[in-house]
Amino acid sequence: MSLAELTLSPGEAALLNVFPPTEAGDAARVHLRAAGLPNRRVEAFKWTDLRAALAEGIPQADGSAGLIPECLKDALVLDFAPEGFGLEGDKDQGLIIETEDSLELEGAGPLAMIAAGFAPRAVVLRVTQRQSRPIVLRRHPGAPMRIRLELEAGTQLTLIDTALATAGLSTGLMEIEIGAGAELVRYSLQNGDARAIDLANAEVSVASEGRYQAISLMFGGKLARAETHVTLAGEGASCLIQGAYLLSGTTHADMTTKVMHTSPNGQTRELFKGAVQDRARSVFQGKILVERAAQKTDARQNHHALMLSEGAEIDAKPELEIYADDVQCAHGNTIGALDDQALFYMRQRGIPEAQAKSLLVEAFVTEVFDAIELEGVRNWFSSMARAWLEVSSS
Amino acid sequence: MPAVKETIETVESLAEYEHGFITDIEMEMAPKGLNTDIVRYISAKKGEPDWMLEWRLAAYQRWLTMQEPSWAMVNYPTIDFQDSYYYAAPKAKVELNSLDDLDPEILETYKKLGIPLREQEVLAGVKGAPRIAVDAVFDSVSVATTFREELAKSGVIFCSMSESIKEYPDLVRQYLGTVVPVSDNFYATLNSAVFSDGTFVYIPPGVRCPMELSTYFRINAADTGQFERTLIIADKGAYVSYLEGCTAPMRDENQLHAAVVELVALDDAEIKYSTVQNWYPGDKNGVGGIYNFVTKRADCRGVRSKVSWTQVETGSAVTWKYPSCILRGDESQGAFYSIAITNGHQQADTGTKMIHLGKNTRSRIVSKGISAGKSNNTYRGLVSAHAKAKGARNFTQCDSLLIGDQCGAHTVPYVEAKTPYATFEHEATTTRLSEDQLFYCRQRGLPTEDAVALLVNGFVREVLQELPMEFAVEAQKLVAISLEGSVG
Repeated sequence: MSLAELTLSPGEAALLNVFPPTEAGDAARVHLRAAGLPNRRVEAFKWTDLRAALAEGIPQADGSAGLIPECLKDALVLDFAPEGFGLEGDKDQGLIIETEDSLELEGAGPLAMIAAGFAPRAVVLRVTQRQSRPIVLRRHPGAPMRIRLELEAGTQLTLIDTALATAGLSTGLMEIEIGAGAELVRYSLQNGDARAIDLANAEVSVASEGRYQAISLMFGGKLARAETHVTLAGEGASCLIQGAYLLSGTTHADMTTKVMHTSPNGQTRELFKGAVQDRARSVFQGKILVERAAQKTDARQNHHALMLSEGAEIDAKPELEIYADDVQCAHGNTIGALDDQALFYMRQRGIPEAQAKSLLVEAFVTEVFDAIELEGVRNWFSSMARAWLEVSSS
Repeated sequence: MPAVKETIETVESLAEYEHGFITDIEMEMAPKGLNTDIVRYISAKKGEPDWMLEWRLAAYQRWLTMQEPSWAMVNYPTIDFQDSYYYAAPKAKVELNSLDDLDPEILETYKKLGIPLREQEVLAGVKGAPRIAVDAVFDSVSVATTFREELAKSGVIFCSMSESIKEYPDLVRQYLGTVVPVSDNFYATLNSAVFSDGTFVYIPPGVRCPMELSTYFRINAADTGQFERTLIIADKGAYVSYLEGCTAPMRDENQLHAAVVELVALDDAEIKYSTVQNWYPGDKNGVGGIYNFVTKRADCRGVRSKVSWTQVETGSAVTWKYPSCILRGDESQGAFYSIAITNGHQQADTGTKMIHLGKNTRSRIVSKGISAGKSNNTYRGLVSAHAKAKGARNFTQCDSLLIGDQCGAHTVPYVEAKTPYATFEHEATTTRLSEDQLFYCRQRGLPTEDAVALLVNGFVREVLQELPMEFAVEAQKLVAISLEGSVG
């Protein structure tokens, strides 16, 4: 045993044994031995201490993959179970699905490295024609997921991914390449409890006139981090990243995004809204980087959060790094409690306090879902949010 | 027309840094490098009591275990801390009682520096001169302090740090290092070990300081790092406005400046701290220039205390500076108004921290960053509310302006809220100079550079308004001069 290994935490030591003997697994092992797990001394993880969350080793996986709602009955389901990967439903034309044992990982962060290390193989999806049928990624507790998704020029795909394990360590890595004029619409739902650790990564590259659209809803876990890196590589590429979060108990949720504009005329729209209560903690880290070549970029980023009770914590770091002069970039960040006057107004009209509160929070948060085009998914997300509010306000 | 003449002069002076000259006066220096002997030497030179020496040595030991911070968005060659002088003092000419005792070369330096005439008059003791007290720090030792007596009448103590250690050891021991602890950060710890001199201000309870206090910092001897230490205490109900302005001569080698400024405001006290920083930013190719790694912090210790930082940062090759407020007292207030202008190859990573600990504390941040040339300008700020900070309120606005397509403007705000009863708002925008506005001005016969200066002055107006009169005019000119050569 080397000296470095002696200083590893039990979680780090346990992880070393779990990585499969693949190239990616070896790479993750080497990385972990050298750098350890990301912790609060690492700038990008100052509010999300993975080493501390895994201090007692890897939690036992528990829970189910969750039911697929009625509105997505036609969808093609990619099933990620501990035993392996399977398909349910009919596959349309213009969709090629393969698995690959050793897929190279290009310049990714520590979380992506860990996720890649876990997955014994990657599922490669190639979209050559516009897909009218959505694809659902269903993840069983404790099953790692790695996907490489390639959208050829002019194609379109809707993707729904869920991470609903109530306990255990779940890792997901998606490498997405969006071709010229192609569009990916992605809806994500994450729901864990205080025993679940969820690490989701998306590495997205968008070619000219392509579009990446992602809308998510998070309920957090012991530690949940959704990290998205988008490179708007082609001229006129755009992205819309929106997320809502509702946290209670001792849960934690971290939304970290980095959008890199490397070509002219790109557009970014980011909106995150959430409410936090009890002893929960939310983290928002958003970075927009505009390179010198990316003139005429138009980027907006907003994060607004409500703190519903004492003991909760909201941390935010909205960041702009700009090297081009002919750009429009703005960000806004607000944190506060519910508006007393609005609450008073509603109670005055006979609405009980708890109901008034939950109505106000619902109105605040569900703005994020307005951009969901599939009505069924919109209703699904809204009803999930409403159910949380009913439980938390009672 | 004087205005035109001024423009011509400004343009002519562009090729050279206005304050680029070296005054030859005899220097007394400690050998290069840093070790316990140097720390002892500095302390002995200043005739410090034992407790001060121990304080310095403890800081030095702590410093040895620390690492230089690397999180700021600045790049500079590695600093060899052993290749610098840590003590330089103009050779003592016994006690300086009147201006006649002052080295004529120093006076000449003030002239070249363009210390406003009225302040030279103050130094010369001309009757009817405005009442501004100047404590000039020439390299590392204060050589002239004026208006001491008049200040003393109202009980205000305004003297150099070394004097205060000798004359008011109780006050110094009570407050020194309580706002910026010895172990605070790499540069603050280094400063604690080797600080040369600085300013000490104490305003007794209920006293409104009868005049604006002002210090000119000056880095002079070649290869001399300057480690200023400033401590300002406003006792209960006191008020003081303090101005700090800086210039430095031209030099090829990078110079390190690591100052520490501590402000303490007790119940109902108010401190207004204004800075105009115009140190040598390096030549056209980014060679030379001052490294400015400063720790400035205010502790609003008392209820209803108030501190406001106003800064105009136009100089230095690298700026690393975050004047902060710890809002400890209930209903205390903090404000930070900043203009940071970078041109050429300058890099600035500057901002503030507003740490809300007390109830109903309020803070306001207005930051205007302007980048031109090949420079990089970063706003980095923290706003945090402790669980007990009920009713805390912050408003932050950071606007960045880009002039030219080779520069960068960055915004890195950190927000940490631990109470639902706090309200935090943050807004930031980044744009370039409006073509329309520029066109409008030029159409009306304004040369491009004047138009840029005019528009930029409009952009930063909110902050300029916060400066005391004496500084506002100077700062406005500085804004224009800093941006010369950035367009066209």
